[in-house]
Amino acid sequence: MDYRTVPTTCTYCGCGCNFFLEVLDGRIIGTIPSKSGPANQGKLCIKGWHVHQFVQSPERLTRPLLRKNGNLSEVSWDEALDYTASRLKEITSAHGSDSAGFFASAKLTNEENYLIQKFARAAVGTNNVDHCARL
Amino acid sequence: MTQNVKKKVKELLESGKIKGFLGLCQKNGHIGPHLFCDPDDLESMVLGDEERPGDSRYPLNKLLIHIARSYPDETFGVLVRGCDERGLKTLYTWNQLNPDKVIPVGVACPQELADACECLRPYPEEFVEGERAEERSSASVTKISGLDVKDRFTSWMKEFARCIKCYGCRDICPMCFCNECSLEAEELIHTGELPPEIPIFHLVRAVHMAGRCIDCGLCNEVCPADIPLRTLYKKVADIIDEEFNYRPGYSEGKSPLNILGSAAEE
Amino acid sequence: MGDCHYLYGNVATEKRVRFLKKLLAFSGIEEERLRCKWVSSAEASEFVEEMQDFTETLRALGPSPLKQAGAQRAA
Repeated sequence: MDYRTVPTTCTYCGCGCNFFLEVLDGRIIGTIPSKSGPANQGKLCIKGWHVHQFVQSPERLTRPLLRKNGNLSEVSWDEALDYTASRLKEITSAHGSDSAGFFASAKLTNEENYLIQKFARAAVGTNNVDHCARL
Repeated sequence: MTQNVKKKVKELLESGKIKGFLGLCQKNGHIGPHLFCDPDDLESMVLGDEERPGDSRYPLNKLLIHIARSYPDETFGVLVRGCDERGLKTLYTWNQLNPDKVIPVGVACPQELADACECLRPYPEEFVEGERAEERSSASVTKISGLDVKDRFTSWMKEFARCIKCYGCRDICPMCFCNECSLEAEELIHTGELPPEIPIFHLVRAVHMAGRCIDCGLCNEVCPADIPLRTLYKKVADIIDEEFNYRPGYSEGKSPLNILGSAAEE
Repeated sequence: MGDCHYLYGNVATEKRVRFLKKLLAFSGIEEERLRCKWVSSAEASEFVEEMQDFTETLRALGPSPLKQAGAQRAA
């Protein structure tokens, strides 16, 4: 028998709420908000309360999907990145930098969000950057 | 402050009477629930007092249900305050835990916590740590009861209107063990609106706390909108006591509202 | 009591109503708005009398606070 309560941070948004994940024999079975989390002080929103449900969900995407002949199929990261890079080049050289846009996410870290806007502005040359928390 | 608890747990683990002890520990800068299985690894054990007494309490009973469901034949120890012990007693009557498979290790709450909780019994029947504090009655309930009926309505509606429907009160509640919850039944509670339909949402939960709520107050602590749920449920427990002479966790036997078994057939 | 088509249904109802009246009062809803009375299908006149009396009670109390709260929500 292996029962653990693992302290971690919520991935749902940028607030940084702390909670413990209840792990029984390797499976996550529950979420317990941390009383000493400075951001949440023992409280959570409805999304945070259900973090344990998405982690092991069979519907969760674990690999990149690429649409081929109208159907989404699993591909390797190399293939997905190569395809994205080549199409980005094609599109921006044909239609200009502002023909591309970048969507960041609240589920990324600050550093990753910084990098995506840097990539959009410095590498591609567009200010078309947005974020799901603004929707 | 934890010496006696540690000693007791060490004895229980070494003698093999328990498979593990569900208590609290200090790790990674947080106080949180922890299952202690090694008698020589109890150093990090704490009682849940960080800045103020009892400010880091957790629903250990509820977590014990999760473990016991997977390991029904093992015996576990669990840290209990007065409220947790009332919770255990009530969970036994609802067949959620087996009293033969649970060994509580008690701590008495300090007066400061008993005052803050307005606790009717801030100590378990047996405890190895702390001293018996004085019981407190519910001043918060008396205050609301003293208002005019219209003012009572206005005051509750003002509190309920802040609800963000996080379901935290239900999710933290050691007495909420149902597989299906009325608060998620679309025919009773409309979806997709904030705040949820008030006061119905909160009164439905209050009704379900009748004969169940053991006044641990975790719902109040977990509420992001600071709704005084504990006061509402304290009154619910008072009513059941007045009408049926039953108070969950204090009285013996099943809830008078239980529709199964002898209680309803009397 | 106990003489119910649903076995102990009226026993359970009686208990719940006793509890609910007090909970309503504490939440700021007049407990007179909830009334429980046993009337068999053979007691038409008793039913009519009870309903008329209840209607008068409700009329005297005026609109329910819940109705006003609902109207505010819709607005």
